[in-house]
Amino acid sequence: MRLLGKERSSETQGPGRVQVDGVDCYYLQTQALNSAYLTVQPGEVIGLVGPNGSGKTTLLKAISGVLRPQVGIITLDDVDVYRIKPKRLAQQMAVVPQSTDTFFFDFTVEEVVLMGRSPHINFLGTESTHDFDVVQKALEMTDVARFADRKINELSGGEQQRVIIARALAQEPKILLLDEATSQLDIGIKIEIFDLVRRLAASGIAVIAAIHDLNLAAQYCDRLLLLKRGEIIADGTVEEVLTQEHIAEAFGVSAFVRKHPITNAFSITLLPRHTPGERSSAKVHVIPGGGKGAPVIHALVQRGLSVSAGVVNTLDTDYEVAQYFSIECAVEAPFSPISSEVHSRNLQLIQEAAIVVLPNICFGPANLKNLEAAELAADKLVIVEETPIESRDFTHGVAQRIYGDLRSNSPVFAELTTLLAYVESHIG
Amino acid sequence: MKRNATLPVLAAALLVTVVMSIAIGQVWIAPQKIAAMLLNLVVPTNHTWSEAEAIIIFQIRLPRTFMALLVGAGLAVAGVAMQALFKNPLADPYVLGASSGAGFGAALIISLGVVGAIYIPVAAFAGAVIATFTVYALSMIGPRSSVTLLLLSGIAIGTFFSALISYLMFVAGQNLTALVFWLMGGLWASTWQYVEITFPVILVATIILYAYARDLNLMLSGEESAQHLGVSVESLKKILLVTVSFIVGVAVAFCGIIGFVGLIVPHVVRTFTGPDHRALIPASALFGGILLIWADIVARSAIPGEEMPVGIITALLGAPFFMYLVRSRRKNIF
Repeated sequence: MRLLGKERSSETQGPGRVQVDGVDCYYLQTQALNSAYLTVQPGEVIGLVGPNGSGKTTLLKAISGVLRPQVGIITLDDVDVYRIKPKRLAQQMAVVPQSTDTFFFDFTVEEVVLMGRSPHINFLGTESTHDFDVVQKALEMTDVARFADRKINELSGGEQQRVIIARALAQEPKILLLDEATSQLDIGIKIEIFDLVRRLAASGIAVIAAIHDLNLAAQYCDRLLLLKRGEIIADGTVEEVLTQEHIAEAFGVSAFVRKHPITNAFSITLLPRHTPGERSSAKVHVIPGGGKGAPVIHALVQRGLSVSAGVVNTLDTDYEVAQYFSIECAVEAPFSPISSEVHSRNLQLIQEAAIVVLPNICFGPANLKNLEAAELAADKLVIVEETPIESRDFTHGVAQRIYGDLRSNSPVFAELTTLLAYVESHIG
Repeated sequence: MKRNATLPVLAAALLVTVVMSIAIGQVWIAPQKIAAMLLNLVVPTNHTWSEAEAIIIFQIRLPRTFMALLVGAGLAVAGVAMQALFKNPLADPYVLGASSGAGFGAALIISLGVVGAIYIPVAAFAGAVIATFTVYALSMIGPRSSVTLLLLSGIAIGTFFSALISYLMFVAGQNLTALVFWLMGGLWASTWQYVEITFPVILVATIILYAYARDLNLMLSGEESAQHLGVSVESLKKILLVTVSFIVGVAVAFCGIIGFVGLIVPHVVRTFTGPDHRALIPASALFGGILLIWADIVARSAIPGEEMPVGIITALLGAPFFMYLVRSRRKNIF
């Protein structure tokens, strides 16, 4: 039996593995979280994304020990976090809240960051030089060391937020919870903070961050949880979670998701809501290729017209756009010549269409059949010609000959706007 | 924590204040006589004073001065604790309704005409404790108490007991003067017996609050943040409420409701110690003691042959000074 033995906290602490197991949370009678599951390993950066009121903050509150779940259990190294004394929990877990509460009285920046050491200081104890060293390091990591002697309330909101992040780092936590911690910060500091987060993760700290900015979340998180109305509707890698379907489901907006060509990072572009096929049952068929069909398809869909397209190769930008607007499409495998099967599918779409648009596309041996299809469209065909056919023909004149015939028998427009005016006047 | 000269200066000021408090009165007793008298307690010295002077000092002025010191210190640290708990610059030790509860207890005894010096303090103390715990019980939402509800129910309970006090005053008849005098607060009744009870309560309460000084600092960044930094918020609240209700209970029981000390002292002291409770609590205790001793000196010597309730002095001097402070130091307070 030990009477005077002092428990050395660092020896008894585990690696810092958080597990959320079937958790339901309520604010009084209102359910804010429904059956949440999550396991966080050391060194992982997990992003919580989702619209306002989806339960991101609630989940963080539940994990941080301030909102006890009605159902389910949250453990830190297999111990219920609600059975761990706050002081003990604070030695392992730090939280940066959504907005800095304004400080009631004017502490200096250093004093505020020093508060981060209090979980490590005994009752009635005072700060050691080690504590001051840790604080100094935290001040430097968040780039607020030069403010150390300023009063916290004299700083800007962004600077205050960095001080609070420094305070969390001074706790030397194994788990760091960030609740929209960088929302108020400008883009440069945001990147700085998240670069810091990645470095912390590399040193073994687990980070759970609620993030509004999907691109930021995609760029910095190993794993994302997408929440909607208290439910986790997707959990996985960035690629798995940030799909157009998920974003549409969670946020009710259309997004265009692609890998950025330079950084290979995910990039999400939000698009205006569209309502395809509302205005007319008459269809417009677009013969796309090499990205030249995309603006035409987009413009037509935006005007509420029903659009089909073909033949297009997968991997082509035009294909992505067609997919995005979920329009009917005759599709061929990448870089393959158009097979007769797909060709006849295309002809069928052309037959159903009232107008067939041939944009300013290039012709090669692989897509020559598209020119044949245009020929078969006969008097339905309209042409957009922005550059002469000579510069777009890679078939040693074959395409030029057919195109020449088409051009003399069909309306030709030099730009998209005049084409649209024509289309609208014919089927609007 | 930065060491500064605040505590030594206040300690010296307190010593001077105590000597002056003993010296000033209907009969002026020279400070060197007082020094000799006090020294005599340790080593025998020449008797330069009369028996009458010794009685005035030891039986009247000294216990009264100690009472003022203890109550002033207690109310000041209780004010510090309440301002931190509520994150509100207007919080004071009476915010939880303890003063009205105590007042009602005392008023009941006075208006019933119960004889016996000990009943008033006992009833006042009981009233303070009952009011505080009612307020706490009313503030519970599930397993936690809400600070906003705490404040609101404090106002409600305080108003309720004040109404009861007013009713008792309305029907008090010949006891009205005694009742009014008691409610305004005063130190005239101080005896060594009071000091013996008050001293351990205030001392222990102040030590407890000082022990939680770091936690009080953390509370200033909000309850949730405080918990994230390791404060057991709910236990801390209970400890603060119990401690403060003991301070207020004892203070009100023996000296009535002395206003403003618990409100202004923390603000004044903060302007030279900063917000760190490890400096603020001891400095507030000393300054609160000094302030109430001087207020009592004025109360008992402003009108020759008459004694004013000290609450009049603290409020009369406190209110304008407080306004001056709020206007000139807005940034530090809000």
